Amino acid sequence: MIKINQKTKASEKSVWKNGTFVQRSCFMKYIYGLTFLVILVLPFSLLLTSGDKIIKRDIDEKRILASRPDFFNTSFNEFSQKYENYLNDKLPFRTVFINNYLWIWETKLSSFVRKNIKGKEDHYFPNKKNSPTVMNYLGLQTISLRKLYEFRTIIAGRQAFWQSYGANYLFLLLPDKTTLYPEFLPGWAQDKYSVIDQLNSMLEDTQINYLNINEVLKENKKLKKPFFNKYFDIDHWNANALDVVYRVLSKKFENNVNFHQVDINKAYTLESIEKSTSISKEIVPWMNLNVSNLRVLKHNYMGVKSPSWASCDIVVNDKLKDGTLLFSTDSYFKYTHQNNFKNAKGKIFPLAHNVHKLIYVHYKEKLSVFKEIAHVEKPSIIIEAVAERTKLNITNRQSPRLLIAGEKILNDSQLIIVPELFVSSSKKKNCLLTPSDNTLKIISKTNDPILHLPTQRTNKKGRFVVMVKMSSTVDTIAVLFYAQGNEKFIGNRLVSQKIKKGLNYLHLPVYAQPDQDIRLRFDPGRKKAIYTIFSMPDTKEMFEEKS
Amino acid sequence: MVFSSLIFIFVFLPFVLLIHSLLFLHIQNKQDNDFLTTLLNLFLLLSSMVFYAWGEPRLVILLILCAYINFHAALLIEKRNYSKLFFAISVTINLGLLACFKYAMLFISPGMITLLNKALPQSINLKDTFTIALPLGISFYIFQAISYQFDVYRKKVTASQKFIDFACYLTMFPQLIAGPIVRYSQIVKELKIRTLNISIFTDGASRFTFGLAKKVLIADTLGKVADAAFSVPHGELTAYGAWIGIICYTFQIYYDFSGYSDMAIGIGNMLGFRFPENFNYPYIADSIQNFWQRWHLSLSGWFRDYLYIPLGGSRRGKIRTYSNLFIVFLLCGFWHGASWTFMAWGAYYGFFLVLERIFSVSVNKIPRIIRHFYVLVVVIFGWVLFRADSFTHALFYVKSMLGSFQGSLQMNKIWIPWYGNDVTIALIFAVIFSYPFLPAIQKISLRMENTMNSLVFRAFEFLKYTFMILILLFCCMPLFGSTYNAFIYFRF
Repeated sequence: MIKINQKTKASEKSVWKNGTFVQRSCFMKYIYGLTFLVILVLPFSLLLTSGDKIIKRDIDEKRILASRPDFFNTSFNEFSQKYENYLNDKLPFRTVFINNYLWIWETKLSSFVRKNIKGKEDHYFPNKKNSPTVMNYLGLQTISLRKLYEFRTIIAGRQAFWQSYGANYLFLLLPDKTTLYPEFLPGWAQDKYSVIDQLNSMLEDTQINYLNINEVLKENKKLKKPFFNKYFDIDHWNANALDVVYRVLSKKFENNVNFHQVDINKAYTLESIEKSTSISKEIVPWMNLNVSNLRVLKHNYMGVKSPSWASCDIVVNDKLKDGTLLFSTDSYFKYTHQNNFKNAKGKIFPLAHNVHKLIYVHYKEKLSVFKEIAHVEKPSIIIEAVAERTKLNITNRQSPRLLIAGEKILNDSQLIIVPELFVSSSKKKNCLLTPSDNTLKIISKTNDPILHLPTQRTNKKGRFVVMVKMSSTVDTIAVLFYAQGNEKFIGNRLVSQKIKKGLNYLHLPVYAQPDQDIRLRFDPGRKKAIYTIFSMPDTKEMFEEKS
Repeated sequence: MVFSSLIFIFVFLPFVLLIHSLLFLHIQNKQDNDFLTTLLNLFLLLSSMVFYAWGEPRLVILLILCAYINFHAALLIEKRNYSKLFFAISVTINLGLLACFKYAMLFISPGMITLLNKALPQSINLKDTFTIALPLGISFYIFQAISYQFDVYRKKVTASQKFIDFACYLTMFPQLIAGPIVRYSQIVKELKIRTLNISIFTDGASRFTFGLAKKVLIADTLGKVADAAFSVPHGELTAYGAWIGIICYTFQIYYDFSGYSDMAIGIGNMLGFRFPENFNYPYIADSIQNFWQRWHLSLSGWFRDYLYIPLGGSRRGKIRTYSNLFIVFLLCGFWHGASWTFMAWGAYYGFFLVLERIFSVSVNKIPRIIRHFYVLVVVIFGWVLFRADSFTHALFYVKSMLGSFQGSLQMNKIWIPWYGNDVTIALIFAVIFSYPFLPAIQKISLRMENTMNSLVFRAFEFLKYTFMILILLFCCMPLFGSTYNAFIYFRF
């Protein structure tokens, strides 16, 4: 049975006054209780009645928000998760609450709320999931030696690739705001771990042709022009930096016959414009490209469906007859602080005035796209630019051919396995060696063919790399074991690479003790099959060769 | 579903409150409304099932099974024939479920899986990554079920005759996953006769809002620093960083847990139930014994009534008392999680409680402020053991607190959240509200209310409730903020 407690009926309050109890109305309690319920009920009711049509304030999220899952076509488990994601994204008033959250927590309380970190003099620094510049600066995401070497080898490989097609190659590494303006970081952020210094150190004293943009901008800081804004688009540098870098590139290629010098003042102008952000309005430098003589060319290369910051654009300068420049970059040159160019997918850098044809490609494009461009467009100058905050994204799509080409340029502690390395008496197990016509056939008798390689020496950081061109009659895995001193060849000291039936290029780097002799054991596959080792071709032949 | 989620606050809770209130209003004046009360309880039961099933529906079966077994076991115990046997069986089943679902993984090693695979038919071959899913809140509802069996066996309560009522009690969503551990005797009347009016409802709403604020504004804010400190690799944490981390964790765990209890009690009020208090300002304690009289009251009360006293309590001599205390706290630690560090944490408290018993006379002569300081130090070091992933981790953390290591770049993990003003403000409020200022203010305001004239009283109430609404809205900001997931590039 349910009953109402008489003492608290209508929730009235009795107070002792003038010798008697006076009943006090609970009007405010009703109002409060009702408001409490309305606050809880309103958002979902609005969602049910008006769907996603509620007007939202922009919170600069730049992602597709979750959509409502179909109850009948989803398992309950999955539905609950998806529906919660949908609610989290689409509940009315969400953007109002988030805006206020960011305003109070981030702007007023200087708190770390995943977006930006507030530094000195109202400077903000990005620390988003995919732009963790402060994290990087503070050394919370360190880079392994293996990754650093991969980075160096890939850059060298890309240079080798383009050089094999007769082009000049230049690599640029672009600094984050934290690297260029540590003086504006919060007082506590003093312990520096420099990503860019490490990456630059990998490029120094090598055959890689690169330009240290960080040093260039540091030198130009005395001009008192900021290269990063306080709040607006702090993931990227601003037009002042674009201007300085353009001038440096012009100077760099002044002796190149395919690169025409132009009057910079006629190529573009810089102006100051006001931009709104969730933090405040800001006057920022902006680059206006002079578009006379320039037109956008239609093309069929990959990348056309990519977002503007990664799109492939070809711009033709009708004023010039020769010179093709391939600009392999990301958003730093394609997305930010410039006016849009009609018909182009993204923004166009003034280099378009220096050559007949400027081809924009994102550096993450497939090697096959680069090959196609190399054949069709025949660029004579290649500039590749990578932002520090993207760290090693460029190494994500590793092609063994690029790595091998890079190793050849770097020429550091390496062994290329060629047929001549073996004779019939070479130390081996479970296989037969049959040399013929510059090849060496390894006929495996079991699932475990073993070849012992000559002892090698690691470099001063403990690295050694083994490369081989090899074909296989089956899909399997090639394994390189390494051991030092009296160590045995065991499972935790190996490098492996999957190989497919047919032709394969193997790139097997070993990381051991520095400056030490290492014994190597090469297992060409894990299956009973025929493996054929070939001589290593020159770079162009290697890239042209079909798998 | 957790209380501090958007789906709970903006969908589940308002739906349940509205329907429950409407049903309540509909039936409150009806004569002979037993059936309707059962209907109300059935609605709560179904709501609790949805609450529990959200995210992991399979384990609802276990919850229902547990309710079903305990309901019938209690009826058998009450019949008096073989009541001891049925009592033993039901407790064994309950503990067996707990052991199986919560603690089995502690004892299953990869080698054991290999052995099991050899023994089992090939069709049910266990994977190397075999795990048993931990059902949400199993420790709470199993302990509630055991307390029910005990109370029926001891004839403190009569066994429930209606499965819906009993299942409603055992699975009631406010206290289902994080307590307090409510005994059947505490809400048996409310399952039949509920009192609900605007005063009780608004008290519940205020309590819920305060709990939410404790969890979202204090615990979660301080948790960022604590998590960062405990994620710094071994041997790279300075004393300063380690102390900051553990102090933040000390407040985080209190405000997290007590906030959750406040929310549960608040929701209970809004549904017409009065759940027991679970915390009573534990950080003002002046002895470890006093600390446990203030921390997680429903659990310590459970262990006292259903383990310590049956073991003989303090009635069988000093040595037996000490061993009973130690056993109780060892198991109390183990209750908190399937890890040896929790057991060690329980043993750690057992040790200090025994020590306090042995030197009780001397301890009482020490000035209160020093005793208070001693409690804080013991509790803080205890939390290291509680929070650490392993004994090695705990050892390194304690060494860090004692200044054994130089910091590394990894210390920056702590500074990123630590230097936000939200942490400073949260810490100030955490310290203030860990002392009983709020009840004192409430007392004063109550006294003032009695002397106020009607207009001033209304103005005062207006301010009070506006403040509560503002807190609720303020709490929503981080909740919505947690869904903010910005990308630099669209479709990157």
